[in-house]
Amino acid sequence: MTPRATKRLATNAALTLGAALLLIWSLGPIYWSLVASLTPPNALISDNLHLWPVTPTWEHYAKLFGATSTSQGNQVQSVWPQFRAALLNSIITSLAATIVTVAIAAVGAWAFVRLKFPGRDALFIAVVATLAVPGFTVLIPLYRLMIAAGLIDTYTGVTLIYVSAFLPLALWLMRSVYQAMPLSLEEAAWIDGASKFYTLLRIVLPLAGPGLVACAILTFLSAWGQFMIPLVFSPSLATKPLTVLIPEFVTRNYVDYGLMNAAGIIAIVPPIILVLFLNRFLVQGLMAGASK
Amino acid sequence: MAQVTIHDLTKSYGTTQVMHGVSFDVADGEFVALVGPSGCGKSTLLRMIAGLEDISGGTVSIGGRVVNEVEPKERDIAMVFQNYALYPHMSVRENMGFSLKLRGESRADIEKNVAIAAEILGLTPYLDRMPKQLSGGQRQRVAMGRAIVRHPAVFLFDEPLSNLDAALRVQMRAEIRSLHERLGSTSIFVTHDQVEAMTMADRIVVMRAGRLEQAGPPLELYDRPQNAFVAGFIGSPAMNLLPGQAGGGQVRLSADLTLPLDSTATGSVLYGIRPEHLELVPTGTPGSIIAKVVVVESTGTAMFVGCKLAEITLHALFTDRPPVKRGDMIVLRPRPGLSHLFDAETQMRIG
Repeated sequence: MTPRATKRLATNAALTLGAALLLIWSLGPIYWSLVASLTPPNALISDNLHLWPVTPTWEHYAKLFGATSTSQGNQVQSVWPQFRAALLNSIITSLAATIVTVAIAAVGAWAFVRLKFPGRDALFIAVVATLAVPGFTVLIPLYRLMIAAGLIDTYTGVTLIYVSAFLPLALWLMRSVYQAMPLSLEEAAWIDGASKFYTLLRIVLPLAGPGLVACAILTFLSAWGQFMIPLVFSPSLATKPLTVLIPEFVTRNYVDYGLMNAAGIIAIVPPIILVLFLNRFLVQGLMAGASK
Repeated sequence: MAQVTIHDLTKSYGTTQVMHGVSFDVADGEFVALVGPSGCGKSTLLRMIAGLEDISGGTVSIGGRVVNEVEPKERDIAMVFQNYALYPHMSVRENMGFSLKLRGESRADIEKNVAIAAEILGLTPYLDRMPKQLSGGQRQRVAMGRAIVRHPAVFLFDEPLSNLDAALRVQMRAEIRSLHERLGSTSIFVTHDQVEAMTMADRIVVMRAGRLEQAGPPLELYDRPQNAFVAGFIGSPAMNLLPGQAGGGQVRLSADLTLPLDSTATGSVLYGIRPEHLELVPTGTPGSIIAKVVVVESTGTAMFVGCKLAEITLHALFTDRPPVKRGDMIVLRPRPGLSHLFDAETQMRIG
């Protein structure tokens, strides 16, 4: 083999190894959760561990979806009604937070880039700086605020908190999207007779599509995975999401690992569907042809 | 159709003044080129005419109406941008029809006007393409098509050819000019390329550092530049400008070089002679310069010769391919009556 071919082989091997490590790192836990959700309860706590389900069983999923089930030999009420309510809550609060955040970021970031007003940059820095404030430090004042506003355990309350938490990042992202867009496109539209708002709607937003989609995915995933906020602000099943419900499968004398993992596997389905759906709009090179 | 009048226009960003009272007129149907080195304020001036930049002082009038406070869309202008600024998510047809649609014209009228403009520009086969599927020259034409469908009173061009390759640039130069003849509308064309300005414009406005240096027909600027800056800027290769002392019908350029002068000027001057106005003469011709050739560049049509005489560097241009090569000593003479003289202090023309 020539030295160049050897070198190329070594490079490829290193790349493959890196990719494999990354895959194991990110998919490993999901795989383990899937295995756990298909393993009978006694095998889960046995001494000899298997990397795949030796005697696969649907019993955990049956417990999740069935009307009744047996747990440790006793017939018990199914968790399905709770699980369904929490799944719905997760979807509603995450979607609402995503829609509101993306809508505000789409218009707000444009204002931060194209409109000239005193204190524009200072205001933007202040908004982005809130990203550095740890959520824990504002929990108590926020709780009092939410009680006073009567927004505890309401969709509005949780959505508002999510929006305030995720908007700065979305604004930041959209601002750089708009900054990368040539001003002459907007100027051409103004000269062509479009108002500023019409230009934003018909010229700027369609071209910012990939940025908006990225914002939406980011916001949805952050909201979907939230634990601390709903733990405090969603005490009942009126708004309690999956992230808070699933840990409750831990009872005083029994940890239902199988059920938790089955629920976890179901919980990752909606985000996967959303990302797959939105990903189609993440078309690259949409700006090609605008200039030069 | 409209005439454009710029009166004492100034522009400041905060306390920094970048334009210092520029005034000129553009007659109805005239093609005017704004030229100057980068940073001279020519693009800013164009954008002020378009309404994309605020006016700090003075007035811009289009068709006799002061438009300082008028929105761009109400000024009856069209602009072709340096980067074309085509809407990437719209087809050529939609790009060109956008302004008509905004104006509320009927579908049939839009279709008709777009078809006419596309025909003029040779874009008919490309109407359903997206901008990214077009070549640079075609994008340039779409940008022009977007401007002409509206029949604006004034066309504004902001360095529209600077992104094209050399051959295409020459071709588009002619096309823009013939389009101008055909449409008869007033055009203002910004460029940093004096060749573009010379070849396309009825009149050239030369700017430098926010000031108007000279305005006039191309050949007038070439033949009688009012100051040393215009002399050096217009014409390619650039005019030789040599410092010297004038007096007694002569100019002394160095200890052992004195040239005759058809001027009675005295004192410190800049002596200007264009490379194409230097001719090869036999040794001993009165008023000639003996210099050593250091550079010879031939383009086929012309031969560019750089030569040195002590500290003085001279450039000459010949079209008859004289047998000159590097290292030769040649004898040059400025053609009588074709030299220029500028005051060294004020840089203004004195003869």
